[in-house]
Amino acid sequence: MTANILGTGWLDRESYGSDKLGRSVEYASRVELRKLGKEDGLFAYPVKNFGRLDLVSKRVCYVTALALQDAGMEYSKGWKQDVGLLGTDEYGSEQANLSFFRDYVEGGRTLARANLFIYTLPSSPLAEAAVHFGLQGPLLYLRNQGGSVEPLLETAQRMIAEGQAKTMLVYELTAGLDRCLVVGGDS
Amino acid sequence: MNKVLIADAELVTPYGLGTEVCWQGLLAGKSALAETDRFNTDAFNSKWAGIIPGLSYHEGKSLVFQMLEKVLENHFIPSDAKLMLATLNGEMDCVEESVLQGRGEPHACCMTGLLGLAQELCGVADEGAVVSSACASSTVALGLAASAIRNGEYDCAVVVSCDAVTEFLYSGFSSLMALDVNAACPFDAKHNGLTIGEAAGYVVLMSEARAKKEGKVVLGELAGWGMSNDANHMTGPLRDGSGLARSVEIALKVAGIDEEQIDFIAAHGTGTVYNDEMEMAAFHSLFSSPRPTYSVKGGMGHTMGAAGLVEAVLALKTFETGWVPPTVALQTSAEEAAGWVRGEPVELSAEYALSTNAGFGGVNASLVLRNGGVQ
Repeated sequence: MTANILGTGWLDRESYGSDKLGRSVEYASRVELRKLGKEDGLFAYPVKNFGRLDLVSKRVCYVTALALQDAGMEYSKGWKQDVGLLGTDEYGSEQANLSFFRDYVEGGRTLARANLFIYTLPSSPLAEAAVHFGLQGPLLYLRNQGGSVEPLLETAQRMIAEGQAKTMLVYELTAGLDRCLVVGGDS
Repeated sequence: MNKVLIADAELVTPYGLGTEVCWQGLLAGKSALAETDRFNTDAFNSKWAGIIPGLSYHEGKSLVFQMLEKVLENHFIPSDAKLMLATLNGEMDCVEESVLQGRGEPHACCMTGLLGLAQELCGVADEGAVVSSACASSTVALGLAASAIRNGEYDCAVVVSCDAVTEFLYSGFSSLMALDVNAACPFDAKHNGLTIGEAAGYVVLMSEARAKKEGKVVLGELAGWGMSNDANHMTGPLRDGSGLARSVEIALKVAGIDEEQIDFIAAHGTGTVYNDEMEMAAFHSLFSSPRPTYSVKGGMGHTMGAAGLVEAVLALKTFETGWVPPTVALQTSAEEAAGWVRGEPVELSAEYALSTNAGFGGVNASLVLRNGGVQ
């Protein structure tokens, strides 16, 4: 089964881009990743509370915007689309888990922070993107032992064929490179 | 398209080891919830939990590993079965220990580590995959595995699921003010939050051809599955239930039936006002008349990522016995649930069941189960 890739967005530590549009922009001179959205106009409208999102969620929002743009898919506030999200990474929400529990322990094991807790699920960064971009298809984290993205692409194709969603976004999040692939039905 | 049959299943829940002990407890309206002493709950807004008896905490093996050992011991899983592990987040007590005691290697608490342990315990060749979709994790995993079997990609799969009550989770849900100060009472007029529970279980799915070939006495058919997202809020559901309804509509379509054919509903029913109202709004929008509906979470608590698998396995017991279990702890139905939920068992000869789950990040997932199996 060959996936029908409609567009791709990617982000690494020095640059971002999209494949079909042949875009590649270096941003290494900028100190803060969060300035990308504003300065480069990556989002059709501002991501609500973008500053409070954890880093992985911010990265996911960036590659989603790039990928949708690459695929020629529009989105607007208050409009929802039949698009699902399927993601994999290296270690699940490991850093978020440690951050949440360390903070709780350092606070005397009395009061945990809800805004850290919500990121202790590996599906949470995808959920932030679903909320912002209005994506109402299936949303899940799927990690095989080898970490290969191929099974995700196959799953996405099958979900589309089955009617779970018209389009699926497949995320591959690694320390060096984040990618979002827009998978469509049979061309 | 291949028919997907449920060839085997087992649970360990706060009622103890075995689906039968859990079923009998629920049918009798007994609660397995109690105040927990697994960790100090003084700082939290509840002390209640659904705890599996006999597990050790922070003393070697993780809770979920112990649970999987119990539920998989002496059970035969076909060695060629594809493996899916569904969990919220795996070994959270391992994360706790690594912070509290500086124990553990980097990445030692990752879900792929637990996946390897599950593979060993199941005795399957497949390295498998982890599925996490908040509190709909095991529902989604069952759907994915069934989809691949139906599509002919393989003919046998085992879906294993587990989540445990830990200080990590408890403190988090307490911070969200999501816990009922008392034991949860889903769909009751006094519902005011959830109670965290723990469970592990497995389901073996087979194509009809494989089940026939092996002469399996099947437990039922997994006929449909649907998944959706609210695209609305990180922790709160869409109030009108349209997100969950969407997943139900997809599941019905995959099953090739219409909503009128559903005989009873195994609801998510966490006990939070938001969830219960959202779910009933979805059911009201989908069905022209009430269906016998229940939540098991008043009896065992919200078993997180394992909830969907537990609820699907228990729904099969209704097919087998002809009884729909009561919603444990229900005294007076919330207005929107009146006529749907009951505090006592209902006798019912059923052909189709709907099982629903929802979770953080707006996830929704539904299953359609069918009585019978090999034709």
